[in-house]
Amino acid sequence: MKAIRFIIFLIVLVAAVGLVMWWHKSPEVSRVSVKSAKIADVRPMLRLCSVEIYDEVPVKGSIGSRHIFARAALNGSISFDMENIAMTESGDTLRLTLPREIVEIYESTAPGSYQVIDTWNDKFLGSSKFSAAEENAVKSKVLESYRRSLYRRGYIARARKEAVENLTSMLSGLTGKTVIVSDPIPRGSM
Amino acid sequence: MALVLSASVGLISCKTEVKQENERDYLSEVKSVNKLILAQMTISKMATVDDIDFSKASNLKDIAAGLIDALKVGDRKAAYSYDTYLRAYIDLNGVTADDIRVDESSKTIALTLPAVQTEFAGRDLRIREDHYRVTGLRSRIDAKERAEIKEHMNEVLRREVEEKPDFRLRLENEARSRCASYFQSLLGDGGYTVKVNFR
Repeated sequence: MKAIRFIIFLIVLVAAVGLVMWWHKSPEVSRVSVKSAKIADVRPMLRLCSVEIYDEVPVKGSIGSRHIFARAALNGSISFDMENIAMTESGDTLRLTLPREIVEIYESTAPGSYQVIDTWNDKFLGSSKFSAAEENAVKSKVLESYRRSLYRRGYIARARKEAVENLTSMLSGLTGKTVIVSDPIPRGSM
Repeated sequence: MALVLSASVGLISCKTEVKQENERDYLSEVKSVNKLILAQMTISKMATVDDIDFSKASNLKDIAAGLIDALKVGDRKAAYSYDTYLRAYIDLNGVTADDIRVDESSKTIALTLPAVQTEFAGRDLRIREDHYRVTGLRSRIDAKERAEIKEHMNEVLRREVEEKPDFRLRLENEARSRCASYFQSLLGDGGYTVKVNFR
């Protein structure tokens, strides 16, 4: 009798272990379905990029008594539209004026570039959930503040200075003319 | 002309300096580059959130999850999207005097430029909520879940771009054509025929 019980116990145990292993090996359940990528547009351009920035920034914000704290990795670039450079030629001299800078800030596409670390509500039992619109509003403020910090930290001035050097070197080399690139706003224009 | 072009060995040879600074616990890197950006592609990605339909389930886990979802009160459906930007450029630091050849007899300038390269400029920080319907006793979709969805979308997108060369090829073609027309207009005014090649 004991032997039969033991055999039944073994069969049940093996079946249970098998079921657990099979459960673990089967793919995770996903309620998210990702559609194929679509090309929205392809835009030709001509921009001289002189500075690139990679930054990790805290994303902090509040809506009423709700708060969010996240971390975002940003990719920034400071470039100049070559198609809008004012150019005048007199004799063997080419005079150019550096246009306004184009500051582009994106979230990095490297894995883990946006992580929500905490969301909370100051009110007892209050919901800590943020809607997409609320979260986007917080992100917009962070982005604007980050953009201003690029000017404050002197990155724009540095990009403009290097763009003047790069442009002078490139155009004088290619055209064989004396190239004078002037910069009316060396610290940039916000 | 040839002399002038040769003298421009430093044509576009520009310093590349990498500066690292650690402020708080966050990484910050500012890099001097000399890139001519020639084209940018906007790629849209969409993901939907929905319950598991157990009639279409392929394994036991899905069937179990589908049954549990069917028992829940209310619906939980949403659609999110965002754009990612892929750009094409040439690195002007890679241009040397040997890359420019002038033939005075045939009035031809042959310019060999570095290969067009592509890179991800980045993606939108914001996410578009194209649809949202959470009813009954179902839990709302929060910031953490949206971040996970975006991470998953990003992973799939990067794989797609890697596996389908059409994305990069289309962008590179656009970039080559823009680059050739720019240098032809810049150098061709002296009666020279400009031939632009890429490595």
